[in-house]
Amino acid sequence: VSDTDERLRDRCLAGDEEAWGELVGRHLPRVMALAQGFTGRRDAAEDVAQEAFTKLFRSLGAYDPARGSFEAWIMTVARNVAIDQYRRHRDERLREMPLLVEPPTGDDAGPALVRRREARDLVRIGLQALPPELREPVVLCDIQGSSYEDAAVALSIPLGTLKSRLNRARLELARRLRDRRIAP
Amino acid sequence: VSPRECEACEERLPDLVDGTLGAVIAGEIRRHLDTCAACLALHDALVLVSAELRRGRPVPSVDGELAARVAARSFHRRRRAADLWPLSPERGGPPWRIQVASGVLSLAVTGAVFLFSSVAHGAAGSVPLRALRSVNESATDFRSRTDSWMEDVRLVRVLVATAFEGRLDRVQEQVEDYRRLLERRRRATQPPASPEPNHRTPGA
Repeated sequence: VSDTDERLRDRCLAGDEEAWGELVGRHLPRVMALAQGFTGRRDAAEDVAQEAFTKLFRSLGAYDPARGSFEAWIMTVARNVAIDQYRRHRDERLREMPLLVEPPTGDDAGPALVRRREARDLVRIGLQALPPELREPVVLCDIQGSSYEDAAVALSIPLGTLKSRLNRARLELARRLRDRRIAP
Repeated sequence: VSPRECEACEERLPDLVDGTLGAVIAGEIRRHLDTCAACLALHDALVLVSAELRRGRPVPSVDGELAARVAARSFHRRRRAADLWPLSPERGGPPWRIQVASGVLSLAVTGAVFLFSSVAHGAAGSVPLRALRSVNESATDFRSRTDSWMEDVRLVRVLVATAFEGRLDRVQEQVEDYRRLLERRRRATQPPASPEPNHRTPGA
């Protein structure tokens, strides 16, 4: 039977490196998923995860079980690190456009594949044409998979504003496709 | 189909595709889509946009090697930070009071050595008198330097405060005021100048 998070934490505080390794292995997938939602890049997500776990290890003694589960505490620390990192590199992220993935050539062929490629290109061009305040929520939530709540905090806007901007951006992109008569 | 219905439908289409619309409203929108080709085309385009955007979404994969690397780096980084002070009581060093007393003693010894060396190269007089003079000169010098630093700090504070008030036009004025004040102070602290012969004849 594996130890609980709290038990592992106690062992870490006593200097047990193996316990720390187990704790990291247990929570790293969720932290990486969260970090990739903010960064969109694996290398940057690894940096965020590294910084988050270094902070976590330094402040292990500050965890208070009365204020929530250990897992929730870990995710809060990781989220704060990811948001700080996102805000530090915000301008840079706005300049670089996320790459939309090439449609797989396995099943589709001929006209269907051409249509999908055309759709992808239209979406990419549409994204570039969007103003930054509409493009950023799409990149964070739709492309990188960040949650609406996290994205709203990272962009320092209310959740309702984020959803409204997302809807406007999606509609804008969809109108481009409709006007070119590109359908699924 | 009225344009107003289409407008209302368009507004809610993203939520319908996102699956966040309530069942009743979703039903109404679907009924509208059955009768409106333009809105249906927009709906289909939204589905396609959503699929294209999500296709690029990174799938986080974590292998054991990454976990081991992250764990080792975070663990040893903290260890190195603790190693900066290897004599901490938690690491088996002496209690803090003894460490502080040792620090004070070493400072006192260093100060005494400096004092002795300065006295050895000083002017004539008994040793205690030369030591006292040396300390006095050092204190005077330090105080004059401190006064100068404080004047600089005050000047910067005035400038910053004025700039914060948005009165950029008054910054130069404040600098001039402060410069005049410093000049007055300097003249007040200077010894009176020796009387010079007056070359001007009265009434000239």
